[in-house]
Amino acid sequence: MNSETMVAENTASNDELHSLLVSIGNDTFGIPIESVKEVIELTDTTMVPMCNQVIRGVINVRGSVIPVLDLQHRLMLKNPQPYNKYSCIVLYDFYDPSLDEIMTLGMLVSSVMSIQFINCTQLEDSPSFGANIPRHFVWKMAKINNQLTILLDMKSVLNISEINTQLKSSQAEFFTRFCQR
Amino acid sequence: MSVDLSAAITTFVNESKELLAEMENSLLDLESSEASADQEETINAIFRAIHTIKGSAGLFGFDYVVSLTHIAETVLDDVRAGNKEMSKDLLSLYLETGDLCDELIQLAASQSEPSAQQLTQLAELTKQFSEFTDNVDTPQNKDADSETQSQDGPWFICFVPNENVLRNGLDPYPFIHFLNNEVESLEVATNCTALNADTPYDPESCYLAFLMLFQTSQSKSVIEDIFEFIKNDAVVEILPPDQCHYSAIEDCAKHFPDPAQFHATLAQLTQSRLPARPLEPASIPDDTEPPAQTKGKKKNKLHTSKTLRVEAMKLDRLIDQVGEMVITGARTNLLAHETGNETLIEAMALLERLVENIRDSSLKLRMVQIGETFNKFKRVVRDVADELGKEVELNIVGADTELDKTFVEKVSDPLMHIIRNAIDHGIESPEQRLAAGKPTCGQLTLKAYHDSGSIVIEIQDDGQGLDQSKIMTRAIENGLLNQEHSLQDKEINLLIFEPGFSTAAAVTSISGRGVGMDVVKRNVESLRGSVEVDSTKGLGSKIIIRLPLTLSIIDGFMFTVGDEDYVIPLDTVVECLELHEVVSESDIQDKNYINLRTEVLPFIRLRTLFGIEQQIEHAKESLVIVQFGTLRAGLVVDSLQGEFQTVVKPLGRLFEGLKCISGATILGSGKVAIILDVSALIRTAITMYESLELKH
Repeated sequence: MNSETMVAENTASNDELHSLLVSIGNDTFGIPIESVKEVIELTDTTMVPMCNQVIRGVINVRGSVIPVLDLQHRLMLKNPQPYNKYSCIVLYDFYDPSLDEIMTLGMLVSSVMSIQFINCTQLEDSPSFGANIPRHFVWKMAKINNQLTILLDMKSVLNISEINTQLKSSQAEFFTRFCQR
Repeated sequence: MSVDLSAAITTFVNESKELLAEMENSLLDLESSEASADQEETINAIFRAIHTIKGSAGLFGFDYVVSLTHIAETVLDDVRAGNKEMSKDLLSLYLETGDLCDELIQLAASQSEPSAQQLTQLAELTKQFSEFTDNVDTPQNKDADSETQSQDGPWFICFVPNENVLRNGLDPYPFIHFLNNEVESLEVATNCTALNADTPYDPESCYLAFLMLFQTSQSKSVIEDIFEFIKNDAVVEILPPDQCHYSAIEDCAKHFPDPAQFHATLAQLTQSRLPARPLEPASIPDDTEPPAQTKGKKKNKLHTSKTLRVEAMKLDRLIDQVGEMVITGARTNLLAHETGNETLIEAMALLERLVENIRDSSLKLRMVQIGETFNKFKRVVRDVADELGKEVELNIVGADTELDKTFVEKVSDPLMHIIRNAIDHGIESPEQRLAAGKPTCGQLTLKAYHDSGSIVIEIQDDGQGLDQSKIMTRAIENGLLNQEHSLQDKEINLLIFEPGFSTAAAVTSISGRGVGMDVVKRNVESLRGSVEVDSTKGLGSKIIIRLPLTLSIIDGFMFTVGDEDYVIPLDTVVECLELHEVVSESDIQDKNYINLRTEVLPFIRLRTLFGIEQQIEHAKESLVIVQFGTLRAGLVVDSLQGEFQTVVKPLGRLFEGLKCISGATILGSGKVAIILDVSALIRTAITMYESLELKH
């Protein structure tokens, strides 16, 4: 159902969708561009204590505090690469139905590559196994420059309640570790 | 329905709610206080409330509300005039009226009809009220009645709307039209000479004046009622046939904008129906019937507004903006210090102080006194105590304690549950109390005060206290506890907050389902507060609710751990020490407590808790001692940064429910710092230690 609504949204204009190609670790992924608010350079982030690595920290964007996710950890990529001067934070707007408001999240990526127009006929379903990221993060595969690129299912990548549960258990772990010493 | 009208109705509903609350308060005041000089003023206040509601309800055509308030007003008018005592029965009747009125207004506003039950209640109340009026039919009323029966002559009305009547949303015409339906052979003479060529014509002004003649068998009060809603905006002189003398009519000329025109207008009416020129000297004492107009004026004077209604959204926006200003101010201050320019730094210091003042006063805008909420419970206490046949006196202490408006709304429900419980389970019946050697009247105390950065609300009763053995038995029955569990008294007391827990043998309308106290705990915890119970068997119990002063801007205390800065509320900080001055490194190798001035103080080393591997020298570490309620503990940090005005920024849903992090703030440098929730931090540590101990 998720993917269908996304197709509906994305194919509104001539069966073509726009995707922001980013590299995360050693791989390239596509992010639907409609909700990308802006891309900013990697600034100093403030670490939030007792969180797991999915949370890179929080940053100040013109007066509001925005959490930044480390996409390498979120997508559970093996061998995470260190970030460098080409690394960027992609600010992504999405609608939160439980609060009925738009919230902004930052996603830390290794670098931003290009904006790609993808014809819907080029889309293929994700392989039933063999992908390097959990399957529910994959929306579709697209052939770009003769290379298969994973288009991310943002609803699943930015599943707030799931991340929130992770954070809570990670906080509990920190406390247990502290008290056991 | 047009948008404008629905907005007006919303205003009306809000206004009525306030008025009804005010009325209820006044009624309860009347009930509790002995006859005093204030009593008259209190009754007047009730009268004004009813009258205003009646007037507004009439404008919107809420007939049920009008009829109910009308009769209530009539009876109260007698009380006001001193013809009737404000008895306890009557007070109850008014309280009921207030409730029904509230329901009816809600219904009318949502454009639905009242239920059959409400209609019966309405009829019942009306009947009871009319009994009161019948019993004490004032001489005045009798006169009025007999008058109308005996006299069949012409009535005369001089009706002069104010110039502003149209601007106030009233149209004089419907009143005349309505009068025409009620009476026979109405004759109207209209004067419009106030509109002359000298003054420019304003389409929103009313320039008209009317003289009317008619016949009716109705009483004077009925006719007066027709003009009820306009009498604040018009001069209405009603002369029943027995007062309809020439001189009385002549007297009305003074109400005309241009008295000279009075006779010209009068001439428009059928002369034969008017009383003849003086045949007998005017014998009507003018002051028998005070003209409606003076009454109206007096009311207006008393109705002064003390408050200004502001949309909550606007206040929130203001506070947001002040927050931005504080942040920018801090940043500018930093830059000024970098330049080293003395004059600039001085000017900045002044500016900072001003900003601080603005911050404080704008935050105060959101603060309301808790007294308003407490007063609401007077009624609850009265009703519940009556229902259970107990005597309970409610004492309120610290009604002027201020807290954030959003808190007041959320804390009201829990308080209600606690109070009902205290009366139902806590306070004994008068016989039991006598047997226990206590005065028959139970004391219930609501107390609010500020204490180290939090607001404390205490609900204390002098009843029988919690029966801990009964609670234990019930807890084991319910499967909340095992037989082997041994708990401390405090922990047993907290069992009453478990969902579904109740020791009551039977479910009554007031309590016993075991839902209420669960709501208390949940609501208070959602506000990041805590609940404690203190109870002595036979002497009473005390429930203590602690709420943080969470505001969008707080005075913070900043320190560094690792590479990051952290902020905690300044109010929680008791003192700061150099760790090596209090204890030597070898003494706390693997311990997490110190001996501070003969007091044992547990501490948390934040570096370890946050999982920062590398250590820093013992000599550099600092100790921040924090206190939350009775809890006192230390935090070991890398270095202290000092006081800091903190604008609390929400972290959003991603971090929701993370107990130890209460928000973030932006520092002068533009960097973000995390605000730690000290009490949650310490309490989580305590529960963790305890659960680990249990496992061992």
